[in-house]
Amino acid sequence: MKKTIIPIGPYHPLQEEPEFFMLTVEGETVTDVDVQLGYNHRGIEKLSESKTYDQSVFVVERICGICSTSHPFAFVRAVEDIAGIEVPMRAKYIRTIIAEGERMHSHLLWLGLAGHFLGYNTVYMWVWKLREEILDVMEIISGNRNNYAMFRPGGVRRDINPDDIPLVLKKIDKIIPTLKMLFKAVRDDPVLHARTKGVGVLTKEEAIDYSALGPTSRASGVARDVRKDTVYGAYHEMDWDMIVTQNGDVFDKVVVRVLEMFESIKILKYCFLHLPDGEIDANVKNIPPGEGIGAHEAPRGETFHYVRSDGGNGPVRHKVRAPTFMNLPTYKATVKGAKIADASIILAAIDPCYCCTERMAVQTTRGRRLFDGRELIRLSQQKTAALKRKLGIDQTMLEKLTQGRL
Amino acid sequence: MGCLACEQVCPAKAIDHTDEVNGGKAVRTIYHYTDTCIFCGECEAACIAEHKGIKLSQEWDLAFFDRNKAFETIERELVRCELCGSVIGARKHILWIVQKIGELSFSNPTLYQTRLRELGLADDNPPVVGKDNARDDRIKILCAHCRRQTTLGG
Amino acid sequence: MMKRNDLLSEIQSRFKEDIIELFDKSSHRVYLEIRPGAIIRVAAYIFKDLGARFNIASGIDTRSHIEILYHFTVEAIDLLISLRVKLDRKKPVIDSLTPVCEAANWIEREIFELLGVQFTGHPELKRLLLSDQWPEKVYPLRRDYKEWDKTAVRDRGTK
Repeated sequence: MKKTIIPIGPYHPLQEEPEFFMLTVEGETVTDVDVQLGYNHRGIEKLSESKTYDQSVFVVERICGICSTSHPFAFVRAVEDIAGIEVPMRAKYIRTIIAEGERMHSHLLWLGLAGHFLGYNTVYMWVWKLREEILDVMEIISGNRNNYAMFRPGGVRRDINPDDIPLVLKKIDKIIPTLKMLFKAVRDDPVLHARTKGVGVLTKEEAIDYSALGPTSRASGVARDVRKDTVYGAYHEMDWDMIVTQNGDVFDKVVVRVLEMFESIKILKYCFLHLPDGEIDANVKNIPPGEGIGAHEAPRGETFHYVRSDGGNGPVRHKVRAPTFMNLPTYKATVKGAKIADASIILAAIDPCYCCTERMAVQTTRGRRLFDGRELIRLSQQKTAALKRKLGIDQTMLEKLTQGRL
Repeated sequence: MGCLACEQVCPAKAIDHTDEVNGGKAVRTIYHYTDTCIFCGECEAACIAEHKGIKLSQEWDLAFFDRNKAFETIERELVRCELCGSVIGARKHILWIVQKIGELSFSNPTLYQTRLRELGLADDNPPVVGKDNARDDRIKILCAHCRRQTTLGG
Repeated sequence: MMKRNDLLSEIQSRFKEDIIELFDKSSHRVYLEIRPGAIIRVAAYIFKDLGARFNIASGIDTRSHIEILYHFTVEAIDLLISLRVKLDRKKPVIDSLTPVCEAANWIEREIFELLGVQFTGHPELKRLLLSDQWPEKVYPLRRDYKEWDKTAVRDRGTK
C-alpha cells in the first residue's frame, strides 16, 4: 500500500519544544509510531571538552529547565568519583533539599499538564498555582526559580540561611492538605478511571528490555530508584518509601507521581529540621586522571553522567544521558493498539522532558493526514466530555474540588 | 583591575578584552556582554579586588534595542616593556601583586620599579651606558622575553 | 544475588579468553576491558543472567583508537560494570547489542552518527540527532573534526 508522508514541520508558532512523532493509524487504532528527534541538539558534550570543571557545571545546568538540578548533581558526582572526594555532610543535605524541591515542582507541573490533556483545564491552572509555593521556597533558598547554580565539585556554592527555614517550612505545610484532597479525587474519580485505567500499558518485561527508568518503570512493577539503590546525598538518613505499582498503565503513573510528592515533602522537612553544621565545600584543587560515573534520580528517572579526565583543568570526554532518552522508545510499545484520542495522554504519561505532543501528526495507511497535535489534544478532551455524559456525571470530583478554589 | 581573572572563569564567555597601544599610552578595554551573561556570579567570586571589582548589582533594566550595543566596558592602563614595547600587564594588577608579596617583590625589577615609579621615587626609562639588551638593562621594566635576554646575555 | 567478589570471579572464569583487563576501581565501580568480538557474549550474560540494567554506552575518540564503554548497573548490590572495547580508528566495526537488549537501539544510532562506528546487525542504523543537511562522513566527536559550516554566525567577542 503506497504511503505518502506529509511533513508537518517541527517549527510551529505555538510549539514549546520541537520534535516529531508520526503515528500510523488503521481506522481509529494506532499501529506504529516513528520518532524523529534532534531539533534541540546543542552539542553540549563537545562543548564540555573546552570548559573547565567549574564552568561545565553551568553549561550542564541549562540542558533542561524543569530538571535543571539533576544534571549538575550527576556531573558533580561523576567528577567526585574520579578523585574519590568525600563531600561534607552539610553540603549533602543542601544538595538533597535542592533535588527534592525540584522533584516537587516538576511533578506538580506534570500533573497540571496531564489535567490539561484530559480536559480538566481548571486543574491545570490550580495545580500550577500550588506550584508557586514550591517555587517561592526555591527562590528564598537559592535566589532563582529554576537554574539554582548551587552545585560545585566538592560541595555547594552557597549556604542556606537558618533564618529562612521557619518561613520555608510554613510554605511547605500549606501544600499538604490540598495535595491530600487532590490524591483522593484522583483515586475516586470514575471518569479519570475510565480514561486512564488499562490505557497505554507497559508490561514488566518491556520495561526491563527497554531499560525504562523513573516513574515509568516503577509503575510497571520494576522497583528501580537511584536514591534507594545507591548511598548518596542525605537519602539514607531518614525513612521514606519507594512507590511501586504493578499495572503499568497511565493511571498507575499518575498515582506514582502523586505519592512520590508526599515522600518528597517528608524528605524536605527532615532535611530542613536536621541540617547539620559544618563546611559546605571540600575545596577540591585538582582532579587526577581517570574516569568517573555519577547518577542521580531526576523527577523522570536516572540521570547518568560519565566523565573522563587526564589531569587537566576540564573534562576530556563528558557523556550526558537524560532519563527521557531511555523512556521515549517505550512509547513505541505502549501506544500500539491504542485509540487516537488516547495518544496524547499516553505520551504525557512518560513525562518526556518537553511538551512534544503538540508535534504529533497522524497518518493513515491511505496516506491522508488527519490530525495534528492540537487536534489530538482536543480529541482527548472531547472523549472525556463524552464519557461524562455516558456515565451521567455532571461534574467530576476533580472539577468539584477546584470549583471556586482559585 | 585588569587582571582578567573574570574572563578566565566565565562559563558563558561573556567577558572579553582588547589591548590597544596609541603612541605612548597602552590601554586595556574589558568588555562585558550583558546578553551572553548568565548572571552566575563566578566572576565576582574569582575577582581579586574583593568586592571592589566586578560584582552583581540590583539593576534590572538591561534591555537594548540594538544587540550590537549590548555590552559595558571599563578601561585600565597597561604597563609596557621598555625594550621591546610589548604588553606586560595592567598597572593596577602589578601594584596589587607588589602589595601582596611585600618585600619579596624586590627580586623582580618589573615589580619594584613599577612600585617605585608610582611613589615618584624612580625615573622612567633610565639611560644606560653599555650596549642594548645587556646587563645594564636589567633594572628596567621588562617583559619575560627581554628579561631572559638581558640576564643570560646575548 | 551473588556477592560482589563472587560475581567478579564468576565473570572472570567464564570469559577468561575474552577479558583483557579488569580494573577494580572501588566497591561500586568495575571497568572490564574485553575483546570486541566478545561483546555479545559478555553483555548477554550480564544483562540476562545477572539481571543487570543497561544504562548507556559512551564512545570516545582517543587519538590512538576509538573506545566504547557499555555501562550496566547491578542494582541489588549497587555495582556498576563498564565494559570497554577498543576499536580500530580507521575502520571501527562492532556487533550491535540491539537484538539482545532493545535499550541499546538509540544510543548505537547516536554513536554511529557522532563517531562513525558501524554496528552490524542493527535493525535501523540511521541518524538520530544530526540534521539531514549534515554532510556524510563528518563525525563531530572525533578529535580531528574541523568546523565545516562557513555560513554559521560567530559574532560573540571582540575577535
